[in-house]
Amino acid sequence: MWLGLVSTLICYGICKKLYQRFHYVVLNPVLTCLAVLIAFLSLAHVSYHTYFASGKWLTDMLSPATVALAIPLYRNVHILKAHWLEFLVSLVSGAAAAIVSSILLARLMRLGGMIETSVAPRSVTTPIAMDISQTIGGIPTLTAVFVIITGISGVVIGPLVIRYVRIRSAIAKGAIFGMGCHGIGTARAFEMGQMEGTCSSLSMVIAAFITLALAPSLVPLLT
Amino acid sequence: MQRLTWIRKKTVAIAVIILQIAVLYGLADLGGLISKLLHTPVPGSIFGLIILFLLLQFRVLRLDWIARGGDLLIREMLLFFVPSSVGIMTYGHLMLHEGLQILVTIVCSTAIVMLITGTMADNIWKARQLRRPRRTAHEDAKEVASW
Repeated sequence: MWLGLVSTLICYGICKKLYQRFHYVVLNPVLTCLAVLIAFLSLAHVSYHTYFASGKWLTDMLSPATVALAIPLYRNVHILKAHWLEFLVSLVSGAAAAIVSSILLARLMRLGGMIETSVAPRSVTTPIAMDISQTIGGIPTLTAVFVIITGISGVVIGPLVIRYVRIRSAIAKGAIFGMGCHGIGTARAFEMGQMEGTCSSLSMVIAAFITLALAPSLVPLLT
Repeated sequence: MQRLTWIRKKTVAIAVIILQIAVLYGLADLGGLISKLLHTPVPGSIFGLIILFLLLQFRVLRLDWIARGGDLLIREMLLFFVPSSVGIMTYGHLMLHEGLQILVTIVCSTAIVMLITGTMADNIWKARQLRRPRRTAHEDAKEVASW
């Protein structure tokens, strides 16, 4: 009954400590926690259904966590006012690029229609991505998985992009992480600095809004 | 004696955080209700976010009434992703057969998104920087509210 909740909490706690100690990308707490939990569940022959019975209490916390994103938005609304043009243009083009490139690349890889739709909202934060997936006819669980893969690959790709394209401003660095890989990227952006992290959390919220507005009209055009 | 006051303080702090999270939960539910009533595809949590922002902006709610719980939720957001991601195990055969293609799709697409977003934001920033009076990185850093 409590298995899902307790095993997740313990596992996450240990994995987080491990990451804070060593700071390797491959030790990203979500990635390691996922690997250990899946190994544990399959070795112990526990079905996902049983695990999720109490595991879903944690998932339920995603909606108040999304509501809480109003707090960084409120605290930093002055940054938004000063740099609204940077955020608006880069995030609208980023969100459009995310939807279009995901669908087209999925088709190029011959992944099939269901995956094409489920992969489209992958670059926004999980609760909203799952809702968008539902709306446009994808599979929300599959989308949740794609969101996580996006987050972890973004943490690796982001610093490379910043270095090779010579991104200077903290705003652009934040936008890269917030748009490219949502919450997982925002955690990484805060490692770079306060301004980067703050811009990333702003970008993450705005990217969610823009994707929400774009996806229902853009996806049917492409699939 | 000192230990007792420490325990009491800790208990109060935890109770405050739980209460604040309950408020956020209530706002999310309220948002869900609005989303249902309006028949929109916009998820309830987004309505909740907008409501909370307006309540803060118009000073109906004070930031310190929800900040501790809210900051905790945001800080530990990664944890809340875990249970639904474990769902990947029910797609085992899909990941076995098409996992590599999926990975390539996502990695390439993420790189494209980041390139476009980054260059757009950086170029506009540079262009506007030239027109504005000179600012230093130090001044930019001062803009950030304390976390």
